[in-house]
Amino acid sequence: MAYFIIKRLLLLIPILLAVSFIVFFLLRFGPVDPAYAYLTQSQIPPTEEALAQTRIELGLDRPFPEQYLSWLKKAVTMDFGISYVTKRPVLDDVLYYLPVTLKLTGLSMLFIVFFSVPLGVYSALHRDGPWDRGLSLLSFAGVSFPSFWLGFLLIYVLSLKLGWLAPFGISSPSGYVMPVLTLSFMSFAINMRLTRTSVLEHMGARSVVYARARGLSERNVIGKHVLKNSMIPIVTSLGMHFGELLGGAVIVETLFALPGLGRYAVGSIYSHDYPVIQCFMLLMTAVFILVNLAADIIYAWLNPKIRYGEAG
Amino acid sequence: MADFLKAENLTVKAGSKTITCGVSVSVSRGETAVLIGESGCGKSVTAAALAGLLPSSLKVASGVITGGGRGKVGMIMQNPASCFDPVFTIRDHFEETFKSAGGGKPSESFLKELIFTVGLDASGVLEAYPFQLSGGTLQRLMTAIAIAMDTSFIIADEPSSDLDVLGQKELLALIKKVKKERDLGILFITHDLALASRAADNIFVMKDGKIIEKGSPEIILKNPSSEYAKALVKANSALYDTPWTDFRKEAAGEDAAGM
Amino acid sequence: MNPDKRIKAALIFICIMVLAAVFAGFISPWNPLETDVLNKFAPASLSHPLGTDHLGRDELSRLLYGIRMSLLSVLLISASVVALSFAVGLAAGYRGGIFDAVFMRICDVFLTFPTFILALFLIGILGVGLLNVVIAIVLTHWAWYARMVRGLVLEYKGQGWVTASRSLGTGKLAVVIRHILPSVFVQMIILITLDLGHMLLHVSGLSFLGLGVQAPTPEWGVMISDAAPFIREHPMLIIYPGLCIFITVAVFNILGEALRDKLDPSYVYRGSGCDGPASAVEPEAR
Repeated sequence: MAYFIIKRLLLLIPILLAVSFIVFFLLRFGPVDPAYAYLTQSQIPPTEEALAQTRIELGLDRPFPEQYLSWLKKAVTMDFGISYVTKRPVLDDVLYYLPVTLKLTGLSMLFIVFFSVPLGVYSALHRDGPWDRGLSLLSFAGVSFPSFWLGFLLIYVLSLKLGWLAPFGISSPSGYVMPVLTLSFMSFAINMRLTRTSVLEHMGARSVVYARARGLSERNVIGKHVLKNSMIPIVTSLGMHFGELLGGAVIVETLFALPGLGRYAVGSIYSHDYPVIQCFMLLMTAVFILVNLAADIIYAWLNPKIRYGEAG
Repeated sequence: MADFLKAENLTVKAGSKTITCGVSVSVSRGETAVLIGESGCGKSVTAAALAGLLPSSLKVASGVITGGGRGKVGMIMQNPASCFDPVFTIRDHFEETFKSAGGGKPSESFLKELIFTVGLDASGVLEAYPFQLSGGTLQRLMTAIAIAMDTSFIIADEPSSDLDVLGQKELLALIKKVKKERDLGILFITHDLALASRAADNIFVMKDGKIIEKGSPEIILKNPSSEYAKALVKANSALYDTPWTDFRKEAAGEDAAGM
Repeated sequence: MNPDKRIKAALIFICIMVLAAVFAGFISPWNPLETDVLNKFAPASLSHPLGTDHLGRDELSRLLYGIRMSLLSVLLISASVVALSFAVGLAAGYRGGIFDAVFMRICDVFLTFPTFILALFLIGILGVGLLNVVIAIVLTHWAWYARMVRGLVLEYKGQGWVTASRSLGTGKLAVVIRHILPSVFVQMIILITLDLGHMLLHVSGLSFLGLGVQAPTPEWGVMISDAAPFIREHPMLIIYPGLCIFITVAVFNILGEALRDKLDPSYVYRGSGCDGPASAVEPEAR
């Protein structure tokens, strides 16, 4: 098991290298000239001399491999350069905005797990009952609802009409309530459905019949055997959903004016702030991979076939 | 501890469709009964009803089950690999079976003894996961679990259909041994007439959800009255040519030799 | 409701939408770009059935023209994804070897990124605008489909009737086109349809962020972000476009799920109506 984890962690390095290389490459050779972007952001007229000067300043005149390697060398020491817009070190800005995003996505993940799994199990066990039908409908709404619409609806009802919560910002912890609900809704719906399907599938398994044959109580059969088996596909799915959460956080932060990484990144994309984009991509990818690794580890812990490999 | 495991006039329906109709089957302690019929005739459903394992889509429309019920009958099922829960160890399976039967945690020596009884080595098997063990081993473990349930009856539903010929022989010998040691009643569900002829004290022939004939192996094999039983026997030409008494003698000889 | 009814209902709705999009010019009461600032935030009336927005433009007309943007982008994206993933997936699956290995690595790279983040990044490189959004979303989705196609091709390649056909001398390409393609295509249609709603959500999401369709072009996502500052006094301007997105996505989802239920029944839970299939007890009755 430890071997499994170490192997995967080591794999992280070449993956991140590849990612950073591709990102770097695309940024340098994309349609927009970095020097041009830099000047416009600094409110300096992009004349020919200014462009030439900036290219030298930013090291864009050097051969590409050299550019990448020098970026890499600095990146390893956590120096991601200076933002074209704010003129501050990128790392500082990123670390300033990161906590909010982590809190937002982390809380959303917790919300999803805490609510979608029990509700999914309940739906499965009371199939076609009133709750199941209602939750089914809710589920369907969840996969069709645009999150940016949901956010505004929540603001309108909970904030403006009922006055329970502040509409924007996170001056108090309750400021996370609506953003988390908005961000989680879709993944919550999908996961609830998945849980329901998974549980229903396992209820018909032969091992369940055999468990009953051995005299196990229904509570034991379902609470222990069905549950453990049906959780396995859900763990993988949740890992992948985290990627959706990271993406959705961008929209939610913009909507609720939260000082998070997503909103910061959108700004940097708009203004072609390349050092920031570079760091952002690397960071998001790393987080995503790590979370999926955690999911894989939990999966391996649940499913002995992965740990021991298929034996004869 | 019941003396009989029986179904009297059992009618099981799936919605409006009748699966079994007025089926009466019984086994007494110390006896081996065989329920034989072709695929889909309803014999497994009968077994499930006896063991209290009918899925909710099937309902008992009429009839009485005595001596059976969930957890009261040891089960040895076919395709053992799919019966064990893949995420739990063999030890887990044993321990939870004991707990459900009202016992506490079984002692190490008890488990070792039990597993030894079915011809396996406990140390190689207890900590393993089902996917790591062979079909034959798992069948033996199912037998061990059936013993652990401390019931008077065991139902074996096509237990050797997944095993090769040697495996089949060993498993049957094992079941025979266990039956003798503990004075159990065994009900075999099968489509294999050869098995029936070797092991049974009593044969029930089932077709299309009904018991069409029953009797001792002598009668069924030598003088079947129903057309179906006649066809069955004829198809097993070896049986047809060989007097059943020879099979019985052979089987008796094996018993004496302790096989 | 059974799959056929749902498919029919969804298709009818989509047809209506397509007609509305095509004839938007005729049925819209106003030019969607025509501003009338003196008449901003007008309430619903006969001349403005849904009122006007913050620049006095007719809301209904903008919504109708918005259908064009939504349907067009979804159509472009799905067509491109199908074409790209088919081309690459079929080739990789059928030819195998180094080609296949390289292809798998490329796919892996694309799949390492969370999809929306990758789309954001691609916009960052390409710049804003609807076309770039389409390209970005195509690039984020194709890899997953290409993998699917490749997997299906490998599965079908091994099946008896393909080998039999080959042994009769049918050329490689012919085998692919006549035998493998139809089966793979059906599966793909189901998957893509299920994803149409998701694609629309991405498009409007990116437009909402200001990275897609640019003002003043009417598009539902942009309309929501335009109306956001006025949520307190004029919430309907947010409700209308959001409702349009929701209904369109919902219809796509209904269509996708109905197609799946009809064409790929293995997805449907076996033994619906029972809590444990009889096969658990009667294994030989297959």
